[in-house]
Amino acid sequence: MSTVSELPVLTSVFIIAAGSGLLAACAASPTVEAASHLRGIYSHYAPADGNLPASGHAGLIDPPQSWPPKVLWQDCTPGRDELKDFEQAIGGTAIACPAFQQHSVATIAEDAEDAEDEAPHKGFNLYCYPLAQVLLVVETTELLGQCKHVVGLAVFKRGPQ
Amino acid sequence: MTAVNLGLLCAELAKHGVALKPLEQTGVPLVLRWDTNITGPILGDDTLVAFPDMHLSGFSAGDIFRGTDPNALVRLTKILRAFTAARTSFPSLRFVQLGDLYDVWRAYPEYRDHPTSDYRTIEDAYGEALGLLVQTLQARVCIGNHDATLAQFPPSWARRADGRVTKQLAYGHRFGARRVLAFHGHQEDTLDRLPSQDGAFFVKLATEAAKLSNPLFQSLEQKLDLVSDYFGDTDLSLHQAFSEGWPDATAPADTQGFTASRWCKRGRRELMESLLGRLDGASELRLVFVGHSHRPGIAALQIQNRLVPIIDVGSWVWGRSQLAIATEGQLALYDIT
Repeated sequence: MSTVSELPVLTSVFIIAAGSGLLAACAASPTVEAASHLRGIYSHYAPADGNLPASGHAGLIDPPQSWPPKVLWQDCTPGRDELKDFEQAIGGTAIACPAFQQHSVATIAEDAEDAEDEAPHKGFNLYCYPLAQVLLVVETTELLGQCKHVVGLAVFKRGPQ
Repeated sequence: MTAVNLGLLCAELAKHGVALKPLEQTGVPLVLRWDTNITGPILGDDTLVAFPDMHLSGFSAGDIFRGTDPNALVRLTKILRAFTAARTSFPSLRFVQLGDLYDVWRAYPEYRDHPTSDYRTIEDAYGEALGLLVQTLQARVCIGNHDATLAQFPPSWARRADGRVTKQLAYGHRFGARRVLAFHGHQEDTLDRLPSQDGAFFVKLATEAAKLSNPLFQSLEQKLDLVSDYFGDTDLSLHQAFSEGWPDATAPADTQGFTASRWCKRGRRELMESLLGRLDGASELRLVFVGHSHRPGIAALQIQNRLVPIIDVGSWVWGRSQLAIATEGQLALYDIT
């Protein structure tokens, strides 16, 4: 199986699902933020209008019939694991993609810092799927044990060798 | 400031089917009390609940949280629900998990060769309990040695929509206006002996053995874990057996019949004191919580010429379900029945 670090990428296409009508709950994809920290392995650009460009589909070689995926629930609905449905739709399973996940954490956190006012608070995650000549990055919101909701997608094309 | 009455809190939890049994050494409950007229405030308005090592893995036979006890997850879920309900009456409750929440070594035995950023194996097995702990109760989580990879690749619950990683996940957390420090406690192992984490060898061996899931191999894995506990950090185990200074008491007999005396004598105390003495704000420290050893107990450190109690909260492995609850003036260690 390919790993993220093995995929040579010179060009990428970034898809923001908000506004596409496909992922209505996603106002601004943190995938943009996460991916913007990447160095070396990937680069990306976000379309200026923030919408899914028609050319974005061209980044997928032989897209499956179920492409693009449809959001079935508008938010993190208890009991729904949208990611599993998504994986069934694309016929693939996630691979580790540490390049997207890397981040540093605090050494010692003070009690007054970073107070949360939302309980339970949702977490965010990224999953990577190698599909032919592209790497699909899916962003989710998650309440562990309750739901996974797909909120963002990104496609990184394999560039010329 | 108003300290929570621990008896009332226990009674509230009992309404939700959770019985907290005080941990004892030689028949004496493990309780620490202090007079704030002498010590000054320590917890302040916080009531701190500390959960020690859980080692949540993939629900396989190599999962030592599940161990030989099929009810471990039931107990964990039940007490997390009970605390969720109790927060209405006890809004000062705050929660910290002391590290080794995930056991990435066991869930991904190959991880040393292939670092993972995907914790689905663990989260699929323990999703509800994890969600209650880190998302509903918003427990602060310390990074341990068995889940050290969280520090490099934080899990979903520590990530927010703007891409930042919150300080819910850190190597250590301070409460009570910086007077209380909670951290895993393995750091003192690595101060002068980085390879001491080679306890991973025992974990790998034990995990392999556990794949042959039958009572014989499960017993073997359990013994290997105990060996790992003792000898994974060689110097620690020797000091642990023979050094002086920690409460001279017989360990509470637990479900494993583990009754080695003086088990809580952490001979590397001087290293711990050295480590904590160098922390920013070390002079403010009044109370320290750790996990890692899996052996609950109360002892003391000398930090900048001040006596600072250190609370080893125990573990949730091999049938143990231990935790500490601290409020201003009092702290107690419990097991859940």
